[in-house]
Amino acid sequence: MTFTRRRGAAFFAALIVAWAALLLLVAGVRWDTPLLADGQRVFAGSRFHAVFGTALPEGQQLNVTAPADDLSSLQTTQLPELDAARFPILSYRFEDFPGALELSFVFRTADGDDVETISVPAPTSSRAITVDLSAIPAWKGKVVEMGFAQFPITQLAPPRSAFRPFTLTSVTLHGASWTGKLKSTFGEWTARVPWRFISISALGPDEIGDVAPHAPRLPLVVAFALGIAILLAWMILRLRGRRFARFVALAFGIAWIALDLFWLRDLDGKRRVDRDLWGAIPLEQRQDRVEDIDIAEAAAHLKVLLRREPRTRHILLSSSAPKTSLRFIYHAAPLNMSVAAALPEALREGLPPGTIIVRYDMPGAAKKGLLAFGNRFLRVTVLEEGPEMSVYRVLGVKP
Amino acid sequence: MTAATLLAIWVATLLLGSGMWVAVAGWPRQAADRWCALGGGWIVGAAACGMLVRVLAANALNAVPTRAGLCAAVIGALCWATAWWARRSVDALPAPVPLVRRGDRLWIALLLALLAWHGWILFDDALLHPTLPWDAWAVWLGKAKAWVLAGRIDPSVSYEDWIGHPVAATRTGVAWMYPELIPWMAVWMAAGTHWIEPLIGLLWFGLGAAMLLLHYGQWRALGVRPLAACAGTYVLGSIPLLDVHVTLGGYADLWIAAVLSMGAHAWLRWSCLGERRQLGIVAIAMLLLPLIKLEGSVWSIILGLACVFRALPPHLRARRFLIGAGVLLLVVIACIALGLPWTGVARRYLDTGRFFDLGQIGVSAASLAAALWAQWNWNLLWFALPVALWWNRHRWWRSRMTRRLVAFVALPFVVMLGLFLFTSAARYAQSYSAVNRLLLQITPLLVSVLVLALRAPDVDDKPDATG
Repeated sequence: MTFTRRRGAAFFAALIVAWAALLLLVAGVRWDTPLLADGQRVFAGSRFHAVFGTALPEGQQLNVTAPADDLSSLQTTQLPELDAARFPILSYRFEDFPGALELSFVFRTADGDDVETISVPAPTSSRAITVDLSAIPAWKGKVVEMGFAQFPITQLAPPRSAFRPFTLTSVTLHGASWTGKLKSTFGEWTARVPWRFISISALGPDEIGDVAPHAPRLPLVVAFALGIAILLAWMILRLRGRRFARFVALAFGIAWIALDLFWLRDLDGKRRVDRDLWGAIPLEQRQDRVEDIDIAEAAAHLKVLLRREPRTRHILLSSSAPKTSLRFIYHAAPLNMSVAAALPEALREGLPPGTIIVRYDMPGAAKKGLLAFGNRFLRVTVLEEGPEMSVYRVLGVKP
Repeated sequence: MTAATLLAIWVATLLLGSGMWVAVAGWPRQAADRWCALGGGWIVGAAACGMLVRVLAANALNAVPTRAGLCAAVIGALCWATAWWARRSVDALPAPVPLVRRGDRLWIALLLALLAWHGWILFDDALLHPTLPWDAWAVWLGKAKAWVLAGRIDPSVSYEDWIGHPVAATRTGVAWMYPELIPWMAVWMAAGTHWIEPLIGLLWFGLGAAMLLLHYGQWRALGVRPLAACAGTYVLGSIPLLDVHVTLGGYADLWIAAVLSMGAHAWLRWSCLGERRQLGIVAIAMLLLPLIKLEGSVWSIILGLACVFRALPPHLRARRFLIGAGVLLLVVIACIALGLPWTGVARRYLDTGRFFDLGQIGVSAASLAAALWAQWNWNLLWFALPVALWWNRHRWWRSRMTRRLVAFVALPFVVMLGLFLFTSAARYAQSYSAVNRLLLQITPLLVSVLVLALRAPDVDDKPDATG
């Protein structure tokens, strides 16, 4: 073997060792973690029962057939005081899990009052998904109950069309191991992450203020791996000058493309969720299937109610939250609508007659034809008053 | 809406924009200029069609296809005819065209295949979902939807004005004072429909594709080899946050990024290659930027200052910085005196100029670092850029073109860092919100810095008269 070949072999050997060490470090493997799990507890799907929603056991599986009235579902099972520290690796299998549902793992410990809930990757196939629970602060002591909750994807899925029947196949709790931690890290990197409001600003945290423990994001890990490769090439291969520059450029190029392939996979996953939600309906109807369908329906009803009003008619909206107001106004277009705010000095005597006041997701507030607005009482007629929405027309200001 | 109407809208956009481009920049004799006319033309065309909608059909939006569409097609055709008629007297000798090496073709094919894969996923996803991100429905497309469904464009006024004039045909909203070019463009894309959100979202897909074509053309025109220009185009097209803005259309930041980069590259061609007609493209960019978003005024001023800076006669060069600072000060004072809305936004960012203590700076710096290096937003851009600039520092420092582009990007970038580290705007860094979108506005220029800094050593700038 020539000197150059020996250096090449040493480079690759060092690279494999260093990258493996990096991967183990990222996965949170400690020096005393065993290579393989020394024990496991397997729970067939049929052992779980529905707490919310409808589910029926069939053989070793549990078929979840319908959600509860609030469109969520929950399946749990009691545990014989299982030692959390001994079984920190969770793996689970589902079949036909709907693309428009989110999945949470819930558990209760013997000394804990509340149920703990953590968001876990939703399955995209029937393959097992592994999650490392050791970083969850509440996973300690004796676990007496565990289960899974499902609900429509927040900020995205139209709730009423999100659910489809699925099957809980099995759940396994393993002891800590290299393989379990590596599978968990890889599972986190390849988890399905649907679009959220924050996606337009940042791709990484599941939400602003998300404090759940995460493995370092893949770009950072790849950058470290790249740095190691470049350092080893300089030290062992003794590349210098243009050859070193070529090596660095090639390494960056390959790393960029590798990350891009991961990103394309993620992007395609987001697209599949969208296809699941909107793919079956015509193009022009997709905007009618939204996550806040209740607001959209109320706004559509208001448009019908006010269809004979002149198009310049001013409509003021009060609602329970700023987002609700903004979404209501968007859905209610082309009504000439604004959020109700303090009146300017020029209108200190009150709103002009004819103005429409809408209260959405708030109780009706008119009493005996009078409605408090700002620091005045307005004389109003009730156009509609209901538990969800009330609509009033201003007649004048109470003297 | 028929597919024919949709096709006609896209063709009219391209015809008008590319016509304006070649009328301003000259007949595209070289392939690089044809790519620029195609990509840049689409961007300019979308903006110009939006303006035509506002001017010609504001009171009868059902007439948009006939009035604005026909007008766009006619003006576009006239512009092309003018450029063709004036082509001989305008164009200079063509520059030598570097050939594609045989070994490069495989790489180019791979990069194009990856870009096509991106394109397919983004296109399909854009057509699947309705308008999703917050500001898209709350700010940028809210006005357009109300106009389209009402059949006319009503002026937006403050809440006080609106509530005080109950019979006036006006509207109000959280973004009543924001520029309206994007809503006008959305109305143009909605022509012939009763507001179909996935079709409106395609405006951003078109922008993304046009931006890639434009950058490929500009890099080729600046002397970058085909493989490097393709690689740069792929890098730009594979930046995750940019992909997000293409498929989750509705925000203004990608428009700012595209138009700012369009203006900056035209400025580079004028100042380094002596192509005077590129000043027309700079002027278009300066006009469009404030019409897109309030921050656009700041970018427009920076572009204008860069032009003034380069245009100063040689004997004033020693005093350039002083003159530049003086002009900037005068412009800012004039903007404040005229009460231009962007000054209000700047004040809001600075929030009376309050500075954080060291502890807060640490949190902001950590958040900023996480946004740049620890999330999926930028692939490896923020690793590659410093490495490339350091590694090739001697070579790119000798290149006047790269040096000028670095200077053009570095100053605003440093200002952004200061903004997000030392002022109350740090909250945007800590929430990962505005910080990434503001950085997105200079991302095409950062990729351009990367491409130019890594240019092959045998490619150098042409001498220019201004030094």
